[in-house]
Amino acid sequence: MTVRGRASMISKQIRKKISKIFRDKRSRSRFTEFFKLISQSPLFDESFYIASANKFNLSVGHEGAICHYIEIGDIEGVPTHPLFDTRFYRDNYPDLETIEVPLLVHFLKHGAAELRRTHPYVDPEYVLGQIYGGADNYLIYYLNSSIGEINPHPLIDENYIVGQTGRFQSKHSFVSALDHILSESSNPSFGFDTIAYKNLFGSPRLENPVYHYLAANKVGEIDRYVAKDLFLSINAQVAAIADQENNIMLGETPLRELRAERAVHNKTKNARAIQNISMYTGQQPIDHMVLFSSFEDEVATSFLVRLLESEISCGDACNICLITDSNPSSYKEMKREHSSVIVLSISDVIEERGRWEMPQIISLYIQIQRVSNLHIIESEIGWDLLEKYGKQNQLFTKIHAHVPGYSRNSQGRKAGYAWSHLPECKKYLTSLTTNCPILIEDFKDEMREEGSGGLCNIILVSDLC
Amino acid sequence: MTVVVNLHREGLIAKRAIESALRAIAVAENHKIKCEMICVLDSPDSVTKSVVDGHPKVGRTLNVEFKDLSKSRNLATAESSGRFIAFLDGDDLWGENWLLSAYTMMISTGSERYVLHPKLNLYFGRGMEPYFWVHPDMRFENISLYDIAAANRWTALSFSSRNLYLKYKFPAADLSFGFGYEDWAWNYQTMRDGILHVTVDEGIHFIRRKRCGSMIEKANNRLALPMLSKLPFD
Repeated sequence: MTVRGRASMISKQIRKKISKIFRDKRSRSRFTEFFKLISQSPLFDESFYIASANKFNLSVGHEGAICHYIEIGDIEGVPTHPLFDTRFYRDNYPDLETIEVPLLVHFLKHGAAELRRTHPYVDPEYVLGQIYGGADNYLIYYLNSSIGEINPHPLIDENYIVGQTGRFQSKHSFVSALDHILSESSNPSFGFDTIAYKNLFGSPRLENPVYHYLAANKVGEIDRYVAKDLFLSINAQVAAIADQENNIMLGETPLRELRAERAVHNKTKNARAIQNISMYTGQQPIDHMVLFSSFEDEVATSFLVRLLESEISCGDACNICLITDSNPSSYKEMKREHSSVIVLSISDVIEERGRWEMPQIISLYIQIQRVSNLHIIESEIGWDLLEKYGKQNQLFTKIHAHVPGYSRNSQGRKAGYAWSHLPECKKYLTSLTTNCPILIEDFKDEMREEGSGGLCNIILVSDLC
Repeated sequence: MTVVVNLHREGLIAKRAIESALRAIAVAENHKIKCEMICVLDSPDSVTKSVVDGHPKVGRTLNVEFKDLSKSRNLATAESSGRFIAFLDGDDLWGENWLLSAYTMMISTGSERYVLHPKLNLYFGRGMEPYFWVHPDMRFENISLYDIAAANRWTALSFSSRNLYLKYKFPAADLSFGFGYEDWAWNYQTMRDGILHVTVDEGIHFIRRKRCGSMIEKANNRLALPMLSKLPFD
């Protein structure tokens, strides 16, 4: 296509969009909304935008840069900030092709919360993993942090870069210079050797190897190469060993990702969930953590109240955290009566619920915060937790499994989840050690015989009342 | 300092581990650092035992039947006389500068609340391409207990003061349960008490990858969390 033809096509698109924007009052108000949102956002860097637009042969002055972006720059893919690459954002998310808002507006309103990537240098999950308590917009949080506080990507080590290139006046100057620094064959961290990467692709003129590697989503697919400066310091030692071990070779030995995918996943998800719990519970140790579900009726609530009062009540200093997968609003009354009781729904803790996720998170929390007593009340999560981790926690956390008698639903079927398989449950529970008293409301003597012979301390709840 | 080599059923490759330790000792002794070597033979096979017994330069040997690496390490710590201890497993190798670099760094910091690890690990093994693996340094990386609970970050071949190893004993391994991993738990416990795990820039270890994969990789791959409650918390 000729330049004129392309220009004509663009102008047609632009005319169409502008006419749409100004077609009616509603569109005008939307335009105002976009303008306001963008002008208040640090992700629109006016000078950077103008310089970028000029590279696209688009003439734009200081006045009206935002309007220019809304009307033209967005369609043309002009980046608005060193770390908001409009074209990258659009190319990576085909579902955004049909949206009628500028991509920057989409990111500010939805994309950040959806952890969408705006630039190859920024890994949203990695950034969030470094933010205690989470953030509404990971990118803005990162931009507001000081240099070296948060790394944007596992391969980009800000302290390493500063050590190589010298100090920067601000985060903004660092971020603005990042592309230039990496284009000059500087290494972004110990974990990436730009020269080796260029040689790997047989193209010494590859403009920015780090961008090339990250933009192509090749993380984990191609091994990176240890930075030469680090390698030089151990070269002689490797050579000495290579003389004796046939399968150690001198030369370009790749650097593997530090952690397995799942470990990274666990770290990010678990750390965030634990931080979420900590946000509600504060830094105080939890004396009693109670996991429960399906307690919607009066009997069930009174059971829990009775439990709190008779079994775990230990004065005002006692912190109790209730985590439930049913609606926690039913327990507001209880919260009023017990000032030290914190009621959380699972959705407060995690965004997506997976079979093992919650037990893992709670287990981790218990291990880190040393929860003194863990109470599990007819709970799916409790069952999973007990089944998988009960044995581990017993050294410093007493586990109490409260098993109420299951009821029958309107179809006459047994209600409840795992605890409805009571014999299997008992078998497991009785395999726990003596440190885990088990409180059971509806208990038949024959169940006791299924256990492993007095190893576990079974207490009837009715005995407590 | 004391060099502890833990051996079990490594067979002939134990000789290479011992010799790599002896080379590192020689480099350190050239700088007037006095070293002793203790080989702990835990339920060894005949080949491993003959390699150790027949080696002219091996110093003290402790024969035990623990079948537990943690107990072997704890015993060697108790039996050691050095101010610092460096651990080596019988199938892995040290770069020759390891002891000198680690000792120099430990002395220069003036603190015994550091556990040193090499900056680099080179994993190798029969039929696989070798690769590097970088240890994180708590002085420069923000590593929280949550991080260490989610994934082990350092191998067991550490260097620190004898007092520290005496205070923080390695918890018993319990592989049968599925996720016991003693040095992971040890790393967690020491971190929790404010000990810094740092790296020695010129340090490199060569970790021989077993057929079933290295322990650290295996542990990090599994779904479960480490059995941290195995620690002697109370």
